[in-house]
Amino acid sequence: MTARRRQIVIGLAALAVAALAPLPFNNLVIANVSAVTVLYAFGILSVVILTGYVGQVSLCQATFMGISAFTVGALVNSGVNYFAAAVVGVLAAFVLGVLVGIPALRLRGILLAIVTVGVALSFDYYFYQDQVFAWFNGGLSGWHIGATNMLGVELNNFDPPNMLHVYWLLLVVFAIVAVLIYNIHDSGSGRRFRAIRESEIAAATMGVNLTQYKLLAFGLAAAVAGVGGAFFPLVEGTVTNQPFSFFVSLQFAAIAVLVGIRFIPAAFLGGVFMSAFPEALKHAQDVVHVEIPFVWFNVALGLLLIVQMIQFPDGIYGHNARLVEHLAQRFAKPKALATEVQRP
Amino acid sequence: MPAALGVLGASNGFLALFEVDTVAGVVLGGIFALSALGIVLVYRVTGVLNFAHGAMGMFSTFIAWKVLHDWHPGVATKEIAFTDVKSIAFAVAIALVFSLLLGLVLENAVFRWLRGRTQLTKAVITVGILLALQSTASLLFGSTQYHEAIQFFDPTRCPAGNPACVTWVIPEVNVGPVNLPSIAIGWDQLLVLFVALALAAALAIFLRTTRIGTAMRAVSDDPVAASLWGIPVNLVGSVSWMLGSLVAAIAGILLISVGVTFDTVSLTVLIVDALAVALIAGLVSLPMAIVGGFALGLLETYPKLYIQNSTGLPKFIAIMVILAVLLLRSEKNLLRSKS
Repeated sequence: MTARRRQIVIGLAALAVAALAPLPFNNLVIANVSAVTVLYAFGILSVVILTGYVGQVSLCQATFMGISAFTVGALVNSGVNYFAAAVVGVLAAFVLGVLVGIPALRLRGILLAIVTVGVALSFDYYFYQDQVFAWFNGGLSGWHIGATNMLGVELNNFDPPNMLHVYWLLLVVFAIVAVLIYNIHDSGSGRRFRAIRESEIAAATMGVNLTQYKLLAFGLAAAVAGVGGAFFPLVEGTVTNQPFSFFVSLQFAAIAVLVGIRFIPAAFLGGVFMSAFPEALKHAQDVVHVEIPFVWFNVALGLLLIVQMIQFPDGIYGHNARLVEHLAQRFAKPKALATEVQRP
Repeated sequence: MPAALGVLGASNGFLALFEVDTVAGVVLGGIFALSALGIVLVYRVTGVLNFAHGAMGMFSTFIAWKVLHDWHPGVATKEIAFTDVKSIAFAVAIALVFSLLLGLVLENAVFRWLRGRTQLTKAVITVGILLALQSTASLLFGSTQYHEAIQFFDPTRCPAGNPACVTWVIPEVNVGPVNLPSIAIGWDQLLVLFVALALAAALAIFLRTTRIGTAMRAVSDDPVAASLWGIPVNLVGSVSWMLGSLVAAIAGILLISVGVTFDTVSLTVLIVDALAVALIAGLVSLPMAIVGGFALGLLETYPKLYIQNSTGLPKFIAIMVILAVLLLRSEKNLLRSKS
């Protein structure tokens, strides 16, 4: 089997496992958690593109999710079809991404991080909360979204089978986006992206149009986050500022770094970590009858991140992927190695 | 709440509001300046841009709150502890000692092991610290919006219930045709200003005259050369982190004493204003941090003359200031040559 074919088989198998995983439970909470997992995975995937591929730091990816979600909320509440609204939402995220990318043309590293912190906080506190923008953020209670349907399939967030439909839809969309991003990695654009990551000056010397590709990277990453955001109202039923706060942006960045910032599968694992860990805490609480507040998740996340940054700079996925590769090389036939080019 | 944030006398016009907002803005600016001082100090010496600065100050402030709330040292109930000077002094002392320890632990357990890594790696670690501190704080101290504020000057102790004994009343002044109304400035507000300016001066003197201060400047210029000259780089790092953490704690305690929302999030997200001021200061200049602090404080307060009840507008102004500074300054001025 070539590496390419092996990857396709592994990818399809992972997709099948992910799709079937919530079935045995047949309950709304699990279905909901599964769908939220994919939403978070979109957020983390956007960090993988922007920081992992292109080397641009962003601490405002949840803001991009938010603008898409609020756009969808506002449009659906004024009578627009959900999926048309979702397209507009993703476009809005793309535009905001390009706008945030403009300062990135002059800035690198921590200065860019400062700008994105400012963007995240001003959107979190101002555009997503302030009554002045009630037409956009839905006022005090946010937007409420009911059921919708796609090609006759009922999609809503209040009974388990329909919630599962939403989950499968999200999973398919995520798989498509992930494959696209995966293919970008080795395309011309992808090579330019990685050149920018390694050295902007060298990339510019080689004729890479920094303006175009940096803005493209920001727009693309924001749009991917926006896809997650666009489906947020469908999964949660409401849109408020809480899920898109500054702290969620920080979580996206922290989890992406923790799990492995250069790896697409790590984005999905990160999503699982982000949604399943708090849920598991809740269940552990029922078993041991001790109250375990959800915030422990952030405490653990922060501490894990510190340990990981010191010990495993490649992230959990990257570190283990390397270990597996080392083992595989040790046991593989020498000639098989010569023909296969490993993709990261 | 501030002891007496208001205008005495009858004339309640625009000018009166303007004066009140000016005072409030300058006080807020003093706190921004203090926070920025801590960020600049740590960045200059250790090369770490500390996104967790606000969170560190928040945590230390809550230590003081916890001492008063659970322990109320020296007084019978927690209700009077928050206004009793001796209890407050005790609690603040504990909080400041805690902040020193926090800085010491962070340098020795975390940042010492990251020397030679990129600035960005270190900055990402501070994001992890921010998340951990903020969550731990909301676990330990409650995530509600309501916590009793620490009051250094208690208006209820004034004779005959007249709060004027904890305020400094400036009588009305006539400048030509303009009649500047009388205004009352709380002593707590004056205290903030005094501490901000005094700390900035003390830090400047410390860096210039003491041996360890000189060592800190040497490390900030060139850590490798400094270590070759026998300067204890680890000790210098520890001292900078301890000072940074101490300044953060002082800023946090002063902030809640003038009546800003006291919860785990508000103090943590103060970081954006502090970063804006630190950028105005080019991330290195202590005097410019003070000037920038006052400027941003006023900029964020004056819109209140026209727009009431907007929690988000100040943050939006902060990002606008950040963008403006970054547009006007060249990158070379802002980033140190070493990565």
